[in-house]
Amino acid sequence: MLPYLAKRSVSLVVVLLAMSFIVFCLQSIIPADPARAIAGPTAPAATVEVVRQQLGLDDPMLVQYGRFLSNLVHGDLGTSVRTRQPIAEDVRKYLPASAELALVALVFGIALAGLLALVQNTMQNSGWVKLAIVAAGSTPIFLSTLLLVYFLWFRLGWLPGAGRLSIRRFSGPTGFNLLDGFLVGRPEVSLDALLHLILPALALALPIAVAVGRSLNGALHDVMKQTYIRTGRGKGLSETAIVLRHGLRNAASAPLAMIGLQVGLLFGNLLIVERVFSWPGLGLYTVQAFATSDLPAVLGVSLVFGTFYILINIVVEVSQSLADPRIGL
Amino acid sequence: MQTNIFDPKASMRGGKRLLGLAAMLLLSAAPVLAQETLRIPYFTDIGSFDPDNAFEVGALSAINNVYEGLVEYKPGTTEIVGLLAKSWDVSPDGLTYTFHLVTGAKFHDGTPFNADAVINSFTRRRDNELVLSYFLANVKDMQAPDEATLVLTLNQPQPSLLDAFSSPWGPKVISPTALAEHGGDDVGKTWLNENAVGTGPFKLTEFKRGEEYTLTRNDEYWGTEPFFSEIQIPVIADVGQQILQLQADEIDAVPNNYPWAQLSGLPAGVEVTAMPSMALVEAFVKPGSPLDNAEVRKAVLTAINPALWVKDAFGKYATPAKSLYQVTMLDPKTPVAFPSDMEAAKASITAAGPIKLVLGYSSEEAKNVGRVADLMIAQLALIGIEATVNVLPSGAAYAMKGDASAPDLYISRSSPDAAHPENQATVFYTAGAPLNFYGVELPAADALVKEAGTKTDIPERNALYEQAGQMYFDAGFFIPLADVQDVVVSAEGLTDLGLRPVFPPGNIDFATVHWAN
Repeated sequence: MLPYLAKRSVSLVVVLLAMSFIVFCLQSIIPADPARAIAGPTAPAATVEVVRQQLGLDDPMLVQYGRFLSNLVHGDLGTSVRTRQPIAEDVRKYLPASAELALVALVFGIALAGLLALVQNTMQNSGWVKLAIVAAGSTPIFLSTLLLVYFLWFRLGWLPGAGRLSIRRFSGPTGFNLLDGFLVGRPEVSLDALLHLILPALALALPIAVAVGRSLNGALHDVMKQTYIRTGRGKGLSETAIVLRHGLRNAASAPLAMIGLQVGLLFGNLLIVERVFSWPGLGLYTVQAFATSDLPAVLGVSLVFGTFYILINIVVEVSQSLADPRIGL
Repeated sequence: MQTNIFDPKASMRGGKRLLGLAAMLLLSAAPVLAQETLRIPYFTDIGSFDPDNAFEVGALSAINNVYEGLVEYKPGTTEIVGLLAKSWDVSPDGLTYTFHLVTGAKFHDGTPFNADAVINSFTRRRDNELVLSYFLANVKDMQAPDEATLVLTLNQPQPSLLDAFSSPWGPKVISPTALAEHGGDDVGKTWLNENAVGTGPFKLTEFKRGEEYTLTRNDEYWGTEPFFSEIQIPVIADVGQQILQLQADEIDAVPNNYPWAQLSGLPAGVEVTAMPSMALVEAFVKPGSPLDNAEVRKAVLTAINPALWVKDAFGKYATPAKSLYQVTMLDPKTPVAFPSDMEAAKASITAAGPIKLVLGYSSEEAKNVGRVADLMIAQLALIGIEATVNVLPSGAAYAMKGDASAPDLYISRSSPDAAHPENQATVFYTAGAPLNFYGVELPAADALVKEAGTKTDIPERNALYEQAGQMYFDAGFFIPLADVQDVVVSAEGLTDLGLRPVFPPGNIDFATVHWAN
């Protein structure tokens, strides 16, 4: 395990370095000008130049990149040209909302995937099930998000359609409202947070559920034909016990890999879902950063998402190895 | 009674036990809003609340209700009226401005307002290379002969000074006590990003990036007390979400970006407030485009005559532009004339051979000028010109100068900093102007602009600016298209929104707005 973790840590650094260099190069290619964005469209050229110097944008690209790496070693991701705050501070502020949403979406996605696989296994010839899966799988996230908001909040009023809390001016110790409500002895905050989480998490969970569910169903289908399954049945084990004890564990490898892939998509989808649901997380932060040419913030968030993506895939690979020891690390 | 809490009845109707239980718990805990709470969303976070160091566009309604300047534009007009200065005198040579300040005003931290406070604040803005320092670049000296008198001496006469001071981005007064306490080694730039101590009718009481900002009425305000005791400003980035929330009574207005096409069919309970604005839609013509040919240019002007499409683009909320200046800024004696003979235009294009044009606009402007481009393409097709659209990424327009691949016609909304024609001409049209996108030059017209900038007689001044504008138009550099209004969609009964033409659209004045009943 340790050699594996050491190897992956090195690859994490290499990947992040490559990613940061690519994003830095993009900054010099795309026409956006953070100095003009700060100074405003009507500011005189001299003002824009002053801002450019203050940001260090008048230095050659390699000098800027060297300075960025040097600061990065000290945990400094730079300063946002939009919020004027250290990007690390912004990330700390916005990350809990996104992390909470992403975690709940993953839980929803995995639970729905299991349910989907079960339904597919038990109703293999149902046209309705196939149609529902195709519909859910082919609906673009922006459309499913809007449909959820429109019907479940606006038309039916079952669930809140925006924001993290209806309770105002709450600030918890961790930033995870689900947890903070209990930590400060206000369970109503946790319940409110949960209600606000359902729709955005569901929007993010649907693509995960379809992809992982289909993968799990396919793997289960093969596993359930194996001889050790027949042996279990011969021993008189119930079908549920067989699926849970032997089927799922042996079929887990492919869906786990799919979860790893889906995490990358989930990060991208956060940008859409957080915007529509006014969810104050890193997705919304990034959307606003793009709109205001806040390239340092885009770079900082890319590195954060990249780090999480790699770490989650390490967890996935370890889980695969634990589920199926034939898969070495 | 308005409330923004989750509706428990709807939940129970849905037969969702969990939701019902949760809603009941919430009902016991969530605060119920008073009637005097106004809920106005912003599309984006406030980047910085520092009135000297940020070019905020959407958040001016908040900043300018917390901070005040010496003068301001009267709502709905470009008339300059006193604010922290009740009156002012200008010396005959135009170099000395004496402001007579209000007395008895206090900052939100209790510090008395006086002339020294103004000097302290103005010095901060002028001398520290802040984003908006250029507003005071011409101020040489500031003196306070007494607490209620401020004397500014200029380097050179600047008849547009009061407009600059009335601009939404013009100099504001910050508490000297706050600046002394929180100035640190960066003249307070860090602290003032998220904190504010002004003299305005509202105090900034909550600054929660990405979520919500709250302003609370300043009960010791020196002027007229505002109607609303609290302003809640949630960040709602999606206009669709804003529209639904307005209909669900969770917010009180969609301040801007309401789709033009939907304004004629609003649901019950909401209404439109439309006021003049400084949003002038115009086209910037690339040198070397087919429009260099006089016959082609005439034909193109015939086809894109705004009178033919402006209603399709903006409904009743825009009029064909009269000149290269916003009609609110300068109503020309002789409006620009577009030819009207479509058959002749068609014949000219046939004679000139196949003509292709590329129209362009910035992705940020898609909501406002995207439809204009589409309609212009349709119009150009009528005379045989094949036109296409190139949507430019944010900021790309600044790199179009000398770029052969840039669009032939770049369509944009011009919104100057202030209502003085100098702000329009020297920002968009003169040589080296920051938004003269193609870098075109017409020295004779620039000379007229320069001369006009020295005039204090308004008719004389406007005549010169109008003449210069006509010259830029005749030279084929710029084409004025439409004067577009500032449109706010709100709950029925929200009135006196205090919209000012110079402010970017949707900046409601929280000090004047109130419910009709």
